[in-house]
Amino acid sequence: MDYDREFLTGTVGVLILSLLSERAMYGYEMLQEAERRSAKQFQMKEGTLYPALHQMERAGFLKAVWREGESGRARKYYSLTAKGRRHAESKRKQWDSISAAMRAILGTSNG
Amino acid sequence: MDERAPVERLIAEIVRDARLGSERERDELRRELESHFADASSSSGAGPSAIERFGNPAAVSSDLRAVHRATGGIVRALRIASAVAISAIVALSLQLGANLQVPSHGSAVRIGGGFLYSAIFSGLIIVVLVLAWELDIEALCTRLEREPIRLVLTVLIMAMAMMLVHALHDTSLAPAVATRASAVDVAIWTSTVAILVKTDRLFVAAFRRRAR
Repeated sequence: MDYDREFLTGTVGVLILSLLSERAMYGYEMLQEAERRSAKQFQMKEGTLYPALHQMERAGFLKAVWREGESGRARKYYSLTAKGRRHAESKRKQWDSISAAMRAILGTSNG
Repeated sequence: MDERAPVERLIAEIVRDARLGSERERDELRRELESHFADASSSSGAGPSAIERFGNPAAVSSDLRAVHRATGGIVRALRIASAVAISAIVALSLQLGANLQVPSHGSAVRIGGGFLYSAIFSGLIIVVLVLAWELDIEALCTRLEREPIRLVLTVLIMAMAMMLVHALHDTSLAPAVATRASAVDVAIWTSTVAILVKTDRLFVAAFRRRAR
């Protein structure tokens, strides 16, 4: 499904923080995990992930290290910093609150 | 279908147009994109190609350019300077309030003798917290106001430390005075952390809007 950009803006950040709250991941792994968990409902243009990752890393929410996997391929793994964990918690609460409010409003307006 | 040549061209285009400031950053981005396409190409299957799924390279390089421009060293210095300035104003206000002496008779209000040492100590608190924030030392950057027991314990421990330091210098400091001074210092500590959080968010939000 194609989503309007206005809905996706800000969503990518929350997505990244949420996934990395569980464990360190590399970029492509985050994309695959988001697709898998949403049963392919959420498929973003893959390139949009990297500016978001770089912004969050430079803002101090993420840190990155290169690691070699079993296949010998090197990948850049991102993880949350302490500041990032606090930010993730704050964003999650805001998201929960906003989505509950929107569901209530949209549910009411649909009758 | 062999995508290697188009992928290499795409990566070169993105790295070039992102106009990152250093060779190290450009190499890092190149490696990351190469790693992405290595994974994406091996899992393409019969669906859209890795290049199609990646999206518009001009948009990606434009966003990368904006991110790296907006979060560089000068912006970081500005953010830290803002946080320090606001924290210092708050700290001085709190210390001034705590050290004002209002006499019972008609003479003028004056600032107590301990103000200078309190102000210097407050400055030290701010410097330590800003360093801890930038170095991501979580233990010092917790929001004490959200943990009442820890907040009270911190006030009491600091008060006892103050009385001990005075005792080592053969002077006495009344527990009530030490507790009040310590409470002001802890208020400066909590306000500085709150200011650091807010300043971070404001700068990230401001430059995210500017990058669009």
